[in-house]
Amino acid sequence: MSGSRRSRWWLIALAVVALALPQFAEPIVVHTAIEILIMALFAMSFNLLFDGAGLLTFGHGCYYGVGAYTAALLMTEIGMPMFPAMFAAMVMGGLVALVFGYFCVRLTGVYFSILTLAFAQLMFSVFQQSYTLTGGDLGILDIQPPAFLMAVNNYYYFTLVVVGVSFWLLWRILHSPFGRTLHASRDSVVRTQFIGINVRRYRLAAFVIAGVFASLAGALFAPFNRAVAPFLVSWVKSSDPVLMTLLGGAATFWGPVVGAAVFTTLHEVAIGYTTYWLLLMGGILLVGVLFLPGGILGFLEDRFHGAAAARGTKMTEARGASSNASAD
Amino acid sequence: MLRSGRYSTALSTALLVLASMAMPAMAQQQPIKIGVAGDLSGAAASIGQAWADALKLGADEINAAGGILGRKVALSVRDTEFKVDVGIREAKDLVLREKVNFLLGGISSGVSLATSTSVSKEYKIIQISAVANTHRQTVELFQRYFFQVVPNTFMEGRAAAMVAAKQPSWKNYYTIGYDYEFGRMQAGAFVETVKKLRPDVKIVGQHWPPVGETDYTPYITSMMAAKPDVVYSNLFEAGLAAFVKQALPYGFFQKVKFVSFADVSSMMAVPEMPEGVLGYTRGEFYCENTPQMKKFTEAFLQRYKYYPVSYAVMGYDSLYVLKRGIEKAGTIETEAVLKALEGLTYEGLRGTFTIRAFDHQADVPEYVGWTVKDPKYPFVILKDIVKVPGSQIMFTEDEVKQMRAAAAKK
Amino acid sequence: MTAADVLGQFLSGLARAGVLFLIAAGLSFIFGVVKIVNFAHGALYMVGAFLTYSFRVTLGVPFWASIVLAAVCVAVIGIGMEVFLFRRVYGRPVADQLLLTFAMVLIIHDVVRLAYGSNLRSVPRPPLLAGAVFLGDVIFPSYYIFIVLTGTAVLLGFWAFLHKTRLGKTIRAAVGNREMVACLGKPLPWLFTAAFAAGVFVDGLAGAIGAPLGGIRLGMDFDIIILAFATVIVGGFGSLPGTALAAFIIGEAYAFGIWLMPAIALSLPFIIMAAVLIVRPWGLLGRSGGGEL
Repeated sequence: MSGSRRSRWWLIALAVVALALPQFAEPIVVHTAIEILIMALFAMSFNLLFDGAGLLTFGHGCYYGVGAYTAALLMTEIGMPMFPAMFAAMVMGGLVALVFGYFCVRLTGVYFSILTLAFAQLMFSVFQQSYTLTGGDLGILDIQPPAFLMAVNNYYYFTLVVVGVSFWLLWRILHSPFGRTLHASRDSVVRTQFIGINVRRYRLAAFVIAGVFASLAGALFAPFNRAVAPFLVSWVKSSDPVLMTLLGGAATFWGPVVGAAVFTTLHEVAIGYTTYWLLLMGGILLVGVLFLPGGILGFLEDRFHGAAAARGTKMTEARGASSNASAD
Repeated sequence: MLRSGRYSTALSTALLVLASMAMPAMAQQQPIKIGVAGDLSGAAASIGQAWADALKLGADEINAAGGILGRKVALSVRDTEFKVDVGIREAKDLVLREKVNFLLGGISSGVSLATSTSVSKEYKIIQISAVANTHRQTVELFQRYFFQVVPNTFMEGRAAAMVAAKQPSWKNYYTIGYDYEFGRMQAGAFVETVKKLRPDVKIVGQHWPPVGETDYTPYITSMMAAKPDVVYSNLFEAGLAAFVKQALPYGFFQKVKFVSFADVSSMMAVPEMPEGVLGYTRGEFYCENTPQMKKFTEAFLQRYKYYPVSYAVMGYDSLYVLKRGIEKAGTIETEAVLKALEGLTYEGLRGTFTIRAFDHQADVPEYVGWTVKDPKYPFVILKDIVKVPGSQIMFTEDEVKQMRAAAAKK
Repeated sequence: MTAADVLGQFLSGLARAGVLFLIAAGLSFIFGVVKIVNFAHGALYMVGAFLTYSFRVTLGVPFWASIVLAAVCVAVIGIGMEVFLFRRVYGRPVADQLLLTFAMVLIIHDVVRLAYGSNLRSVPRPPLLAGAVFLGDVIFPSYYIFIVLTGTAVLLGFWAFLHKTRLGKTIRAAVGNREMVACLGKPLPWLFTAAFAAGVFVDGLAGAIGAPLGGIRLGMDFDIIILAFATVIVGGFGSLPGTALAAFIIGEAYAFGIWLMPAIALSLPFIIMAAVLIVRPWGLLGRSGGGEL
């Protein structure tokens, strides 16, 4: 009980800071904040699959990229205004997730992960090769958001609203009967199937939902960045939400957000001082995997909430056992 | 008899007062910050590094001579890794966090185009390109804060085509160009011009390997199977080195004529480059015998222990062009410098050139010649060089207007 | 399009297949025995290539010694990784293992960048193999023949090792039933280390002999790991003949793709990979019962 009240205070404090940010922060900070919000949404959608359904996808960048490119193409080629373009991007992302996901959810464990990787890389090479359709290696440039969103502060508030609503929706989904069934299928496939649940269909639904939110994140990114490039679809980009979620703590709802914030801020700061960013990230990941299996939030919870920590570790262990079994 | 304590207090107070009077004046001597955003790693690593080295040399020279308008020049160098997204991020960081006054760059045409449209235009910062040369930067995707002192892809392809068209036995062409902005635009320009000048020319095939490819064998064997007279390539640096290395055992260069990039960076990477290849370049140090070029070459060689490639030459020029623009405007304020740069005539290492007002392209030349070994240098150079002046290969104002109108209509 | 042209294209794909086979074989072997998906396999391949450059070009060591030394060094690095890092996560969820190997990818990449800078490097072919062999109209660069021979030798060597030697048979037993092998008193952890070292040695060797093919550069690690995965998936995890077959298919698809279908040539490996995963997830020559829901 005290845990949730404490986290409610954290949430309120965070909300206040988030709302007031553009008033006192420099433009570069607001820029970074927008990036964090978009990445947080991306990571949250990933975690719906990872923690929600026990599915580790290494190809989530595919849907992020599809969303970004769809929005970019519609806005630059046919001049569609931003909001319908974003909506279309979500639809497109959902469709692609439906097609790819149909094949992916038939597999488990490592095979699932690698097929997601294969599809992402396929998408990447398609985007990079089609010079006429997607601009090839250069991508699409000069994407213009509507006039009232050109200023970075306005775009920030817009992103804040969209991402906030998305978080609320994801929370509702995870705590709905659907979400609980997903959790059940994560912890034990056999038992879930035993009570008559078609696990494959639930996983596919989760895959599509995750794809839709990832493509929304991409659609937010395209007009913000004014440009999209094939890299957004690549498997290297796909590793971002994985790193962020694990850094922040996969077993908690807000873990991906914390991870996204830390990761993005570290990156922004680091590129001013060193070019060996990958070394830093790899080192952090290494330390994290070896010593902080629950991520930052997991670690903090362990320290401050003993009982909750025990519960959390048990869940991680159960997930570990079930995913070990399916990997064989 | 003054007590030493009181004396020193008085002295230090006086010094403090003097210092505080001087401080506002010193604060005004903030350096002019120039962001340098180019690819220092990746497929064009040595190209970018040569360019950055020349900029550092130029900046040190300028500072030693008193700076620009009495202020020192401070370069902030970033590696954009030949990736568009990294380019945008680094350029944005330079502008928003380091608050640079001007941008120099890029190297990759794709990255340069991206920084031009996403950063230079967005934040109204002047960007001068000395290497990245897609013509779209000054034509279809032109934005007024962008300037270019390197011959654009159209100029380059056209110049090479003009010399190629003069070879009567060259009828069937196969092209191989990198699958990105520069590769496509430049090969396209070559093909367009050579077909216009020689209607009997046929393009038997086109290959577009990805940037950074190291295995060209399937491309080589399939090109040889098509039996062209000439292979036109815009591969460069290490990619070109891999291509030549893999092509040699096949007797490739005995079977076809080769047209290639011949800049010193690429030639240093390919010591096995055969002679008799038609090479094109944007201005190597051996192409001009002016005293300025000699002086620059010696200074560069002495400091960095390698010969300055054309990208270093043009980079050096671009910095001095900026300097002249700022001095002509009398301020670093963007709009004033912009106006000063438009129509500016400057004396560069390759000669005297003018920056056109309507597309910000300088009328710089392209050099086309034939490769030959030279005992003086550890790399192949060009001989019988034709210096094609900018005026002969640039788009006319009408052509530019037409192309821009067509692009806007889309 | 003559027969000579087809043969020439065929051989260029074969060389690529040879290098790919070596990498994928190591990857597949490691997964089969140690049950770790080694993301860092591409990075180690790159290290093998760069070390070959250091030995051959910087230090002037003769070619043959360079490639062996490079492969041995990579094996040593692999042993270090296995003993100090991977052993800690054997009991952990698969995700943790994947992440650990991924962390190594990032670290190795930047360490190589620190050591060698970002420029491309070139390793010359040994004079013996720098030319070409002429068979009528067809030209076979000698170095490619060398790669194919090496790949075949490794394939046969691996097979002989696994089926004819004691250690090899023990390893195959461990793949089938770990507990039993441990009960029989075999030191399981060191078995894993040996298997890991073997897989990584072949990987380093691939980098070493692949180096004189074209150029070596940063980024070859990211590029090759995906192809290696594709090869292992198509062939079937844990199946050596499958890996060879898959490498052959992918290598030739690349060669003929560039010639005949250039627009999709670079996507072909992934199309094939996805097709196999959809239709026959355990690979062309793998065993059924792997990972289906």
